[in-house]
Amino acid sequence: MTKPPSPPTGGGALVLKDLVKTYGAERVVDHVSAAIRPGEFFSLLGPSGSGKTTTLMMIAGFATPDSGQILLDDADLTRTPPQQRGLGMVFQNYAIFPHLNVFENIAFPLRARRVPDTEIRARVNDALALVRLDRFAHRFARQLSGGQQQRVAIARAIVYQPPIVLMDEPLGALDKNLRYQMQVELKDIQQRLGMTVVYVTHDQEEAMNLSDRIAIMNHGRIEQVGAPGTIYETPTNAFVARFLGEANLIGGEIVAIETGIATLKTPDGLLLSAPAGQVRQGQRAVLFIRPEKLFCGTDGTQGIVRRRSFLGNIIRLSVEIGPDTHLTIDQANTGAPAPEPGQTVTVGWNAAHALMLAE
Amino acid sequence: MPRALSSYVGLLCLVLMAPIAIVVILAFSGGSYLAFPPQTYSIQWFVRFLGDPNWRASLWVSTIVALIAGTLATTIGFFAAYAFVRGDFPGKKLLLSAMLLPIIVPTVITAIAMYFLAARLHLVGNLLWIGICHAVIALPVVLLILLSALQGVDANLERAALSLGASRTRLFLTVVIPLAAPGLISAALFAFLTSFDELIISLFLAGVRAQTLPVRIWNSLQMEIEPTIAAVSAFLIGVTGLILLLDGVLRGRKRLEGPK
Amino acid sequence: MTGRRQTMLLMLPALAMLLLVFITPLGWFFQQSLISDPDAGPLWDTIVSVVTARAVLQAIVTTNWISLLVTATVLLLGYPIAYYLANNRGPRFTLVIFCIVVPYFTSIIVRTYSWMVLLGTHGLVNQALLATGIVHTPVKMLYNQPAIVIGMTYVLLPYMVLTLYAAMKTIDPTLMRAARGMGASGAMIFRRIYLPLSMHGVISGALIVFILSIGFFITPALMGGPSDVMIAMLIERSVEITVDWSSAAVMSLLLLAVTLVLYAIYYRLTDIRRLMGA
Repeated sequence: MTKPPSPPTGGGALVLKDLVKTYGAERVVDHVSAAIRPGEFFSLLGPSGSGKTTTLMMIAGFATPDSGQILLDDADLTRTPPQQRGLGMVFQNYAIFPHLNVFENIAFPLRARRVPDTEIRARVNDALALVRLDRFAHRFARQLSGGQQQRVAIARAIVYQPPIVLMDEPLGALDKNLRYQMQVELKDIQQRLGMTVVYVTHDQEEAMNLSDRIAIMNHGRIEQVGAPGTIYETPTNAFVARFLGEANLIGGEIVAIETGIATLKTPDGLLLSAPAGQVRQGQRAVLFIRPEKLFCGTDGTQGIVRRRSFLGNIIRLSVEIGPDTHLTIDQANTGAPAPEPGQTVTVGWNAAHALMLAE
Repeated sequence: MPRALSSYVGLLCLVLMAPIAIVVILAFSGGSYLAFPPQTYSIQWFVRFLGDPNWRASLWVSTIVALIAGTLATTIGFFAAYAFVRGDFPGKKLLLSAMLLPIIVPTVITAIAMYFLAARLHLVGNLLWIGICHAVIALPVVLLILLSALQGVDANLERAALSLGASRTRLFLTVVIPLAAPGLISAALFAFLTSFDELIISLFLAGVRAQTLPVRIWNSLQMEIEPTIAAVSAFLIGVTGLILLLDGVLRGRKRLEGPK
Repeated sequence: MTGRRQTMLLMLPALAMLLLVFITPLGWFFQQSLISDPDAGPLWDTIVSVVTARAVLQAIVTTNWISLLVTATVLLLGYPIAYYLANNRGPRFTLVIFCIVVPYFTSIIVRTYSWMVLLGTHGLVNQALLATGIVHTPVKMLYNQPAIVIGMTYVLLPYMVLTLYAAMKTIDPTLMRAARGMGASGAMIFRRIYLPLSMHGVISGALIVFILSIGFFITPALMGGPSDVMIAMLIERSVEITVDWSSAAVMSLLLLAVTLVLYAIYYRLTDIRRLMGA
């Protein structure tokens, strides 16, 4: 049995080349390619069934791609069995060995590598300190809370310094407050160790909070890859726009394009303009703008407030600007009075915040 | 209605346990013949059982054969069960049904066929061969128990172990077997019991010198119902009870320290 | 997750054992007795002569009759027990399961012997009957068909109870509650809701019991009379007493064929996949 590749200092680089995986009649992963940089926190984000977990499983070695390659620092891993890939993995249900205590769980990969006992003790204690579970070494899984178990799982996955750590919705089973806290800890550990992380989640807030770059997946394909800010502000299509937070998407036909600005005509006759992006004249398109980028002012499109929702830190308005066209506006709850339903308002926005997307 | 049901069930439970209880009580009769209820109590029939060289020989044969059958069936069954639970291949349902055939096919036919072969190969009366044949009919029992036990082992635990660099051997030794241990012991116990209690195959393969306890009881019944049979039967019941007790204790412990 | 080839390797010992120690003997037995035997005539003639022999026909009738009787008895006796188990927990459940399971795991020879002790002319039941004056001469309860039915019922009851129990466990109790809320009487609930829902368990259990019954040998041999011969007994006699291998082979083939057909039906009806957790 060949030893796993020795990890470089800091994280490794992972390249996915044109991965395809079909189960039965369904192509679950459809020509997925990505280049993940050393030390990067890279998320695969998408709804269930988008192929993100299958992609992760292929990287880990628990599923074999029908075609395509997986390269770790230029070494081809595609046909290597999982136990020889030397990657770290954290599962959603923690997968802590119930018959071993915390210490032995973390020591497990070191024992598999025949690390001498003295060294094991030092490294396990270091890992325990990193996840702040120093006093829990002799406990068993059933004596730990969910958050504590997840930290054991993380410690176990990094104690042998793998070049890449894979995480399959690791925080999915935790409640909301705990999840946020764990996100912060996770990011902290990742940055301190300079690890490369490939993270699967369906929670867009989590992905945006943690990631250096996000790959949004849908039906087995990557829709867009980029930094959270980039994807959020300039999505490449309506799916991405809708998946990350709230979006106004007004459909219609492009009737004119001039100096990079396109004009869209809605079914009910409104004419709206925005930067053209990739659309062409005569094409069906949607105008994209985030609700928080809209404001009620003096310059813009007239409309009537149809509904007002109180969401705590946000006041959400639904404004009818045409017989079949509504805009959603999110206003920060500053305490200032917000428009009432039935009121006429003028909706404005900064042209740079809008974008035309192909349908 | 519920009261009538409870009464009926209670009555039937009595009827179910009565024959067994009666045999056990009879086995402790004093006096020169079996009487119920016994006038006096004594362990004379047990003494006679263990003092008789023939019965002792049968006890020895039964134990050896059952140990062989139990070990063989449990080992082979464990690997097969693992393949069923974790493997990915077509025709699983069919294959499993096929592997359950030994307890579906009338044992007489199996026994005769095995005897036919054994006679040709001069293996009649060979303890190892009887053990192997018993393992064949113990295998389905082992499979059913271990399929359930292995399903209780979270697949993610195995994936975690592999991702952490464990070889397949280490995976089995340090993760799968410890977690499936209660099921394994249970399967071994019942494989042992299946062989220990088995009559028909043993009957055909016994020859003259390799009679298991059930075979000797059968032969004794053909001649006359001697009271020692009661003691031997009580002994067999005791073995059954002990194994059921051990299994129950095991299952109870597993529930206590099972995964969250 | 497991390499396909590696998994097949794990199956190998089990398949090898089944092939060498189970399938091969069966195949060779049939082949040698029916085809290669120089004393035997043409195969078809042998089959016909065996199957039409009076003893064999009688055994077939007896076997079917007794098996049907046993199946019906086991069903009637076992259904209420399974129902009780499905609707009770804790110590009651454990107690009843205990009473079912202990006989189930006791050697068949011990179980049969115990009934012989009970039903014999000087057996306990007769002693009790004589002592209380209900009868004046011992009742012959052994070495006849009723004895066989009692003995076989005793052995096969656990199979029916456990099968029915498993099926009944899948019946949602809220259905019964909903029906009661709509004003249905107990009898109606049972007849129109519970019984139909438990039917797949009834059929599975009946099939298993019948399949096992037709192959029975020990109980009818020890507890039946000279005219109560079931087919498995005939097969044994052909081997041990008359040493008529071809006869044994033909009868075995017949019994095996019927068993396999019934098992195929059982296989279709039940979901063995559930055993594998798929």
